[in-house]
Amino acid sequence: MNRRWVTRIAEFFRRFTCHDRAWLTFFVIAVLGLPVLLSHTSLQVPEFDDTTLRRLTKERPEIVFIGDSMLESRLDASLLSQLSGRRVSIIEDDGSASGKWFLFVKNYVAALPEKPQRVILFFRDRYLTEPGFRLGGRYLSRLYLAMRTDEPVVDYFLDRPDPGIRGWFDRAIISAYPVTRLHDPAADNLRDRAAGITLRLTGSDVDFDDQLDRTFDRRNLRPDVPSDLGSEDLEADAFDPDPKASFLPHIVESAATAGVDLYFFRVQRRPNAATIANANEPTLLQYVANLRDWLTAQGVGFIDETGDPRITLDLYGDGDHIALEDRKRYTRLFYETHRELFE
Amino acid sequence: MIFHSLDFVGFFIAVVAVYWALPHRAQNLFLLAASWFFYGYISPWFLGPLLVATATDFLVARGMTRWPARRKALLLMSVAVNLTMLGVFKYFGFFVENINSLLGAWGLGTFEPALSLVLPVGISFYTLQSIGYSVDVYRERLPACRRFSDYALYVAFFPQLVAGPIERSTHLLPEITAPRSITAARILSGLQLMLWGFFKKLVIADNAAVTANKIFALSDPNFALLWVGVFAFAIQIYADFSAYTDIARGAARVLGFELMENFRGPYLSQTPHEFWGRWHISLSSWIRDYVYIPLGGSRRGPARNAINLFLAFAVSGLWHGAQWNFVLWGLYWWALTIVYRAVGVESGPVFARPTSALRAMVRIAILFVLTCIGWLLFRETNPEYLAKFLTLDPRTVNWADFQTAFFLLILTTIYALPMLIYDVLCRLPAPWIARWQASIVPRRWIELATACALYLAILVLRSTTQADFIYFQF
Repeated sequence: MNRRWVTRIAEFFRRFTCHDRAWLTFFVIAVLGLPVLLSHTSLQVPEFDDTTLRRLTKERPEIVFIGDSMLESRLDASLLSQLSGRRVSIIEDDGSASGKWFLFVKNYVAALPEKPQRVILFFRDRYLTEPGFRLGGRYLSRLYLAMRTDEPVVDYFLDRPDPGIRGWFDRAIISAYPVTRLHDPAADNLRDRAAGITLRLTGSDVDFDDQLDRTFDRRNLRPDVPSDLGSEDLEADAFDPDPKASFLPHIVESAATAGVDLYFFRVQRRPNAATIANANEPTLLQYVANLRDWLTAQGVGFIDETGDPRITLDLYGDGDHIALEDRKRYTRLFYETHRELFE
Repeated sequence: MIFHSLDFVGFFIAVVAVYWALPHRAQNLFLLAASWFFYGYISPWFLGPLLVATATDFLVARGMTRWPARRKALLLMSVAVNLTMLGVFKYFGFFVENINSLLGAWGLGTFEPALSLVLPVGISFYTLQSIGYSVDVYRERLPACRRFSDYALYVAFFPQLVAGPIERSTHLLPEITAPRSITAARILSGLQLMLWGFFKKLVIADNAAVTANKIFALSDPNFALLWVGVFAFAIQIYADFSAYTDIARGAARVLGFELMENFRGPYLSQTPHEFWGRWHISLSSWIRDYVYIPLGGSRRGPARNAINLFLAFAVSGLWHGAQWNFVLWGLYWWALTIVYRAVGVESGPVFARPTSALRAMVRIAILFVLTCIGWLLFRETNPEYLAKFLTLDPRTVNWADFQTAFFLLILTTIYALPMLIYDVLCRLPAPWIARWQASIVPRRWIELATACALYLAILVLRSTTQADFIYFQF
């Protein structure tokens, strides 16, 4: 049977002339191989993006906040610095989760020549113990930018429980094609070009990022636009402090090794009927209680904003984000409520 | 299974590897099994309606051969079964919603439907293809297919099953029943077409979608921003749908089939008539041949012609979706067609002479603006927002708003540039372009360089927010 198949496949290729075969093979190899070649020769593919590390080194922060868009929409670093008289920096990445936060603590905060006194990590509900959430797939190429050459913890979770052929293929593509890590710089480059053309043709200087933030502020969105609750896919697992179960113990360990005080700050989700009901769900309450106990036992701080009557619905933009216009208001509220974090 | 997934890449490589090692009969059976797997991969129960449509039209066509006296009744049965299926799955919710609105308006209360159905992907495409076959057999344009597996493959052929092109039985069935040959040039050409499709989907359509979706998510966009959003949607829908067609045609070509063209640079059209000869050609020609011409076409005087056009465009609009905005969109194109005919605007040669070139460019620009107005009707499903958007005052746009809108316009155009250049160079009926194309030697190296650039661009510039193909929802 096998021989028959081989004969048929050979027959199929015999239909082509020698020149055709050579060209077809060369064509496919050239198309698939050129990006690999360019990755290792002319293209400047970032192995580890040290932009944030250089920024933090320059800023010499005493307090560092880490998180996803929840953090970005809530805190204004310069206002916090001004209010507290301490140097405050923010490491924020939209759509990031526990894997990326671990890398932020380990590869940015712990790698600083002058360590900050305190790190405060913003999270929602069960994000800290869902290691697979926002880790692989389309998040992978950006995750690699925060990774050093040797990352056994991240590798472990990428392979766990079994990445399957799809997970294996994702990683193979990223490894074979380091050019995929050029996505963000390339997209920025196109944006800069578009901005340059616009400024040349319209003649005045504008900060388009700021302008776009204002235009697409969450408060300007239609009420029927789906909100970014984000974690619907997370399973309602019980809290598990096993280092093989989540990045959380590794985050705690990295901060402890660096001699940095670590706090976890659970942000209050949008306080509407559905999310309030969700926040009061018994398994989640139990989870949060267990998380608090475990962190306390590790000497790590835990603050839960959920239920704070001053964080009212009118502060929110879409989903769990605070509206851009209210970021300063929220920042002030945050400072007044948690002054001890800045002492 | 969706084209822009690793699942499909693996599936396609496996199918091609096995397929070309098989003899012709086995190739068809294997392709049928692969096609059913491809379709059932999305949801196995989707296979149910597909099999019903396939079995019905196969048996109806065989019946027409056996009982010629009952041909008409059998044709009606085929049409009824297919349209009922389409009606139940696609229009039931729409029907209930409108009945409820009427009952509500008359103060009679509303009712909750007992049925809540998921629309099987691609049902609008394969039911038309299946009806087309019955009509073709009825009109004796081709004999009824003898083998069920051949006919089932015609309906389920995986490259075009989910979003077309809607093939004609007179074209695809002979390709299925006859042995297929393959050359290296055909394989390469198919792979290039697929690559071009992936580029258009992942780089152009998905990046344009980011801008369009953001703007259409605003509750109160200004005039400039709204129309940039519409422009981005125009780019998105064209890149997205034509990408699907290109991937389908490319995949079919690698398997030895040649599917029909579905797009020929629609935004270069000068008149609505020309637009529908360049946009979703397989649907517009289907409606022309199976709806418009049977109704009498233009043979029964101007008034009847206008009515026939009205019905054809209404069907086209309703085919796109069970919502009034699609009907409105179809009727908008009907109105444009009538107005253009009344004014007597015809498509002229482009760049043949300087004066005609200028005239043609102005006509292209005007029709593109009108097309964009149509896309607003198509995109905005909420009538309140639609009314608000259509009455936005351009004088309220301040300079900063204008700059932001212009920036997004340029950004969208930068992503779309390869597709726009391709259309101008390959689709504009200009003599100098034809001469230039003929003078390109050696073409092979240019094709290789283009393929390398496209693949590199897909790896680097593909949008991080990927969406399904828009036409999947229809």
